[in-house]
Amino acid sequence: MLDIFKDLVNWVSGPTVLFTVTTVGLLLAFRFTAVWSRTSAKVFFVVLAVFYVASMWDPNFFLIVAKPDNIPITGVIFLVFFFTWYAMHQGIENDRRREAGEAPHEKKEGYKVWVWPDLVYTEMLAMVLLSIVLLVWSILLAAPLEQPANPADSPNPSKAPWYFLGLQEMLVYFDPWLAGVVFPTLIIVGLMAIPYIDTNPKGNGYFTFRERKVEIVIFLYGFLILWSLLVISGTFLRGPNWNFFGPYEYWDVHRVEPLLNVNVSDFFWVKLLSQPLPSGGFFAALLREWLGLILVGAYVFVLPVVMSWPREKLPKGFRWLSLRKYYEKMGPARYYIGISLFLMMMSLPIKMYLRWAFNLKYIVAFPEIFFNI
Amino acid sequence: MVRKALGTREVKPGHAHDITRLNLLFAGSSVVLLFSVLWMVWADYSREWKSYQREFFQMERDLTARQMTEAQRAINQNELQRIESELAEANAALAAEQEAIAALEADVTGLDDERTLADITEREIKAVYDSDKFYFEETAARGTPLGRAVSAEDFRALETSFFEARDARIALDFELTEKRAELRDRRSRVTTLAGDRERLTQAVTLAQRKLDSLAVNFPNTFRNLPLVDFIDPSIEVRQVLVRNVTEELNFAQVARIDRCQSCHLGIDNPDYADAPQPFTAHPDLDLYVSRESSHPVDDFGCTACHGGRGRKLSFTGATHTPESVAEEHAWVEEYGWKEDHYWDAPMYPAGLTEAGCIKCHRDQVFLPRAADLNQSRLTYELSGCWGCHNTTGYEDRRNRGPSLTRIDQKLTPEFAARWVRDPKSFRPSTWMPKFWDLENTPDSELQARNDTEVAAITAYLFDRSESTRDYPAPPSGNAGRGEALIAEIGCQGCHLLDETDYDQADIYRRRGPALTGTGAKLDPGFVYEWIREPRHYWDETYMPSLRLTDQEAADITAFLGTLEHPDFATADVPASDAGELDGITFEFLKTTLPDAIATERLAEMSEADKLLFSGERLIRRYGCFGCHEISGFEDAQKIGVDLSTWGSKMVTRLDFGYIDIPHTRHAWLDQKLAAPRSYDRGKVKGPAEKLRMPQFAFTDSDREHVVRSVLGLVRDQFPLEGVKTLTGPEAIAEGARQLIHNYNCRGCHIIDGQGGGIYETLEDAGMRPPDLNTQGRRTQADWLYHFLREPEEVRFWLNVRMPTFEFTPGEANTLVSGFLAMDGGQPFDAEQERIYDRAELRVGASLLDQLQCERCHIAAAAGTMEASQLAPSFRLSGERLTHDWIVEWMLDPQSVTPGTQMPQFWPRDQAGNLITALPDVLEGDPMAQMRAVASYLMNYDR
Repeated sequence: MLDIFKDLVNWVSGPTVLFTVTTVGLLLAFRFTAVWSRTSAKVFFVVLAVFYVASMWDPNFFLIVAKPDNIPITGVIFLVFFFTWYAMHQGIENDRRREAGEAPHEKKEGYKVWVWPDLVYTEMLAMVLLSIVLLVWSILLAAPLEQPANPADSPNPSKAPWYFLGLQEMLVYFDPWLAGVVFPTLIIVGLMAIPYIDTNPKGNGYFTFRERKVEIVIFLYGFLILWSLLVISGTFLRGPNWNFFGPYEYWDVHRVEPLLNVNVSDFFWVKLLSQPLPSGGFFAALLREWLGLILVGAYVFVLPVVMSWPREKLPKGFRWLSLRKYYEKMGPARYYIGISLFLMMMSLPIKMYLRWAFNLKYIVAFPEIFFNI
Repeated sequence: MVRKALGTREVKPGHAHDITRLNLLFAGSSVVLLFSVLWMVWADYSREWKSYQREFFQMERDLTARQMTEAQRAINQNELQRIESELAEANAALAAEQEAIAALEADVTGLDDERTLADITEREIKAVYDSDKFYFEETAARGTPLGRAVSAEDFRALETSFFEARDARIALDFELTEKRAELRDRRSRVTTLAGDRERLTQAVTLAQRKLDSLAVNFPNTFRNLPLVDFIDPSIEVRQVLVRNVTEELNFAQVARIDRCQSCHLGIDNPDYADAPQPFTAHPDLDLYVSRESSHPVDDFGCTACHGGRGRKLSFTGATHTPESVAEEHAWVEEYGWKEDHYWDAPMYPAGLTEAGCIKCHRDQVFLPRAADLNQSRLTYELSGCWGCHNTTGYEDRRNRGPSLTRIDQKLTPEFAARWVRDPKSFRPSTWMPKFWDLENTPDSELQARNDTEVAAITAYLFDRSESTRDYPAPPSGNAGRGEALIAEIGCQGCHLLDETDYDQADIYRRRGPALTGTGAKLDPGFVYEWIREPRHYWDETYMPSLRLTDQEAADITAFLGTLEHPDFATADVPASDAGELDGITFEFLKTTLPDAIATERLAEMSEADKLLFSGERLIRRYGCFGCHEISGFEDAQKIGVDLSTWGSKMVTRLDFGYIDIPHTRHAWLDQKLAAPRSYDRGKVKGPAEKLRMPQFAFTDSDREHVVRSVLGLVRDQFPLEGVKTLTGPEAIAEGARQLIHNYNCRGCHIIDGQGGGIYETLEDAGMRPPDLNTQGRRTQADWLYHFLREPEEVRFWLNVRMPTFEFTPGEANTLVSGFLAMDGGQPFDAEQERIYDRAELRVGASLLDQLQCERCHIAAAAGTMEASQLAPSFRLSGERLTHDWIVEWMLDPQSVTPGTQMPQFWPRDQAGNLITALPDVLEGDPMAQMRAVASYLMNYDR
C-alpha cells in the first residue's frame, strides 16, 4: 500500500506529469475561484504538512529534504503557497464585496493605522524575530565547508544555488546562450517593463482578481510554474547526471536514462526525405536548417502580427489566437513589446512539450557557431 | 491560556494591534534574541579541540608536578648545603664591607646622573654640528646653498665644543666602568655562589616556571574566556605551515597548514608515549616529528605522510579513517564519526600509513626503517601487478614470469594446459594467478568455453616456441643425498620445499617457485641442466649457480624427480570444443568484420587455424605477455589501468557495482584483490566486456600489502625542496639495494636489519648465513669484490653456500661501493699500508693466547664444538677484514651481530667505562689492547 503510494508520488513528480498537472491545476483554480477559501487553504496546508512530515520516515526523502542547503526550498514551498493564497483570497473576497456593492476591504473604516507605533513597531518586531530565526538556523545547521573546488572533479549533480535552479532546469531544454543569457536578461527586462505595459489602473491599493484576471494569470503562471516549480524540482527532484528522481528514490549515480534527441533538420532530411543532411559551407547549413528557421521566424515575427488581426480575418479554428481587443486597448508599441515577452515566456513550455513528445533537441541547430534554438 | 495571560485584546482606534500585547511580545522576543546571541557566542566558543587542550593542560600540570618532585629529589643536597653555607659566609663578609660598598654605590649613582647630563649635552651639540657640517661642505663646494652659509671659523669653533663635550662624556663612562667593576669584584664571590645554586636547582626552577604558566588562576582563565580569547589565549590553534611538501589547489601547489597538534598535543613529547589518544606521543620520534629526526614536523607537518585534511579541527573533518568496522563503530559512538567525502585524500587508516612514504621515496627500492612498506612493495612486485598495470618505477624491470619463447623445451603441452587452467591446483603458493572458473566465468556454466580458451592459448604458445630439444638423461643420483643437499646448501633461501602454511613463510623465500611437484612438471634432463647452469636456458634468470658438482646435481635431480603430484598428473587436460572454438573465433572475427564476411572467413579456417587465431587474441585479451615473454607480443601494451597515480583516483570514479562495502579506496582495492571479478556481479556483459583481472592466492596480509603499495601511488607533486633527494652515499647505496633486491640476497642474509629468510629452515643459529650488518666497514673492498664474483670459503663449517651469481664487474662494484656507502666504509684504507710495530704485534699475539681466541677461531672442525661456537679462522683476516672493524667488533660484538657467541672481553662498567681483565698489558688501556689484537690479526698470516 505504502509502496503503491510512493510509486504514485514518484510518478507524479516526474517532470512531464508534474508540469502538466500543476499547469492544469492552476488554470482550474483560476476558473473555479471557490478553491481559494479559508477552509481549502487549511486543508491544503494540513495535507501538505502531513505529507511532508510523514515522508521524513522515508530515508531518501529525508536525505534530500534535510540537507542544510535545501532547507530554504521547504520554506519556499510553504511561503509561496501562503502568499499566493493570501493575495487570491483577498482579491476574490474584494471581488465579492464589489459585486455586493460594497467598497473593498482595504477601504473599510479603521483600516488606516499610525506609522508609529503600529508600523515601525511591528517592523522592528519582525526584525527581532527574523534575527532569532537566522541565528538559531545558522547554529543548528552549520553550513558545510567543502573542499577547495577541483576543476577536475565537479560534483555530481553540479547544482547552481537554489535560486538559480529554475534557470538550470531551462538548460535541459535550451542552449546555454538562450537559457543562460537571453532568457535571464529578458526576465529582468520584462519584469521592469511591466508597469509600462500594464497600464490598467485597477487594483491599486487593494487586492482584486477579476479586474486584473489576465495580468494575474500570466504573472502567476510565469512565477509559480515556470520559476518556483522549476526551482523546487531542480532542488529536490534532479539528482546525479541531472537525471530525474522521485522524492522517494535513491540518487543512484550509475542510473542510465535513454537520451536520444534529434533536431528539426534530422526530422525533415533524414526521417522525412531519407537523405543525408546537406553539408559543406554556409548555404548548405542554411538549407539544412530552413524549416527550423522558418518556424522560429514565424513564431517570433509573424505570430504577433497575426494575433493582432481581428478574429474574422483569421481562419476558422485559429480565431482564439486573436488578441485584437488588447491591440486596440494597448496600442501597437505596448502590444508588440508585451506579446513578444509573452511569446518568449511561452517558448519554454512549448519547447518542453516538444521535447517530451518528439524528443526534439533543437529547432534550429548551427553547432558550427554554437547557435542553437 | 496564552491569550488569557496576555489579557483581553484591546485595539484602540487608529491602531491595528493591541500595543500592550506588542510590548509583551517585544519584551519576550528580545529576551529570546539575547539568549540566541549568547547561544551563538557559546556555539562559536565551544570547540572539540579546546576541551582536549584543557584536558592536556591538566595532564601537563600533573606531569610537571611529578617532574618537579623528581628534580627536587635529584638535587645533591650536600652540594646545596655547602653552597648555602658558603653563600651565608660570603654574605656575612660582604656585610662587613657595607660602608665601602654604600660609598661606591653612591658614587656610581652620582656618576650615572652626571653621565646622563653629559650625554644630552653631547647629543645637542652633535645635532647642530652635523647640520652645520653639511652647510659648510656645501658652501665650500658650490657656494651658498639654500641661503645659509657657514664660515670655516664658526664651524671650527663648533667642532671644538663638540669634541670637548664628547671627551667629557667618555671620561665619565670610563670612571663609571671602573667603579662598577670594583663593585662587581667585591660582590663576585656572592654572585658566583648564587649562580652555582641556580644551576643546581635549574630543573626545579624551570618546572616551577612551567607550572606557573599552567596554573589555574585569574589571568589564565580570563585570557581564555569567550570574546576575549582573541587577544592572547593559552588555548589556541597550533599549526605548522609546510612549504615544501605541498598540496594541490586548482593546479597550483600551495603550502600545507596542519593543525593536528591542536589536539595531538603530546605528539612530540616522549613523556606521553603511554598517554591516551589524542595525546599519545608519536611511536617513532627518532624518525618523525622531533626536531632531530629526518622528518621534523616543521618541515613535513602531519598530513604529508598521513593524508587527511590538515586545516580541519574536528575529528570527523580531519578525515580520520577507521581501520576496521569495529573501530568505525567505536568512533561513531565516541566522536560521532561519519565519513566525510569532502576531501579527496582522506587519512590513511592507521595500518596503512606507510603508504604515505611512497610519494617521496618512490625511487628507493628498500627503506631500512619501513618494514611494512618494504614487504608491501615486495608483494606488489612479486605478484607482478605491474605486468598489466603500468606503474612508474617498474618500467625497466625484467618480466615477472619466465620467458615462454622456449616453453617447448621445458614443459609438455598437457602440463602447460593444466597449469594455465588452474595453477594453484598444482602449486598453492604460486604467484601465477588463476584466470578461469572465476565469478564471471564459472565452470558450472562455461566449462567448455574455459577449456577451449586454455587449449587455444596453450596451442599458440607451443606453436610459437623454439623447437624441441631432447635433454640427455642425467647421470643417476641418490635421492636421499639430494634431499639433504637441498635442505642444506641454500636452495631454501628462495624456494619453499613444503607449501603447507606457505603464507606463514618468510616472503623472501617465496621469490622462487616452490619445489613441490617438480618431478611431475619437469623432465629430469632439463632439471639437471638447469640447476647446474640456470643461465643456459634463460639468460635473464636471477637463479644463481651453487657450484654443484655433477654428482650433487644428479643427486638433487634424483630427489626432485621423486616430488610427484598425482592429482594434477591425472587431471583432465583442457581440450578444445569445436562449437565453442567456432564461437570464440567468430567473436574475434566479428569485432572488425561484418557478420557475413566473418562467417565466410570462419568457414575457411581449419581447426588448427582457429586455435592459433583465438589463442593469439586471447593472450592479447588476458595480457599474458605482461609477465611472460611470448613471441609475437614483443611490443604489446599493458592491458590494465595505469596505477602510477591510482592512490589519487577519485572514489567517485570507482565502480563499486553491486558490492556493499564502504566507499573508500582501500575497501575497493581490498575487494578487488579478494574477488577480482566481483564488480561484475549482477551485470550483463559479453565475453569481451567482462572484467579480466585474475585471482591471486593472496592471504589477508598479502592483500593488505598490495593495498598499501597501491594507495601510496599518488599524483602529488612537490617543489624540489620537498622531494627526497638521495645524497651521494645514499644514491650509491641505493644502487646496491636494487641489486640486493633483484638477487634476493635477503633470502639468506640479514641486510639493513631485514631478511634472513632461510633462517627459519636452519634451526642451528651457527649454521646460518651471516648477518651483513656493518658489512661495509667489516671487509676490505678488494676482498669483497673478488668474493662476490667468485665466492671462497670463509666459514668452513657452513653447509650453506654463497652462490655464484655471475655478477658483472659493474654489478660487483655497485654492491661493494653500496655496502661501503651504507656503513660509512672506505674503499682505500691507509691502515692496510701501515707498517706495524713489532712490539705491538707481540702484545697482540700474547693477548690472543691469553684470551684463547683460537679455541673458536679455527681453520677446521675440531672436537665436539657446536656450529654456533665456531668462528672464522684468522687466516683470512689480513686480506679480508679492516683493522677498525676488528676493534669495533671486539668492542661490542652484540651490536654488530645480535645473538653472536663471541664474548665481550672488554665490558663496560656502570659509568660506561671499558674494563680490562688484563691491567698489566699496555698500562691496562683497553683500546690499546684491542688495537694490538687487531694489528696482530691483520698480520696473522705474514
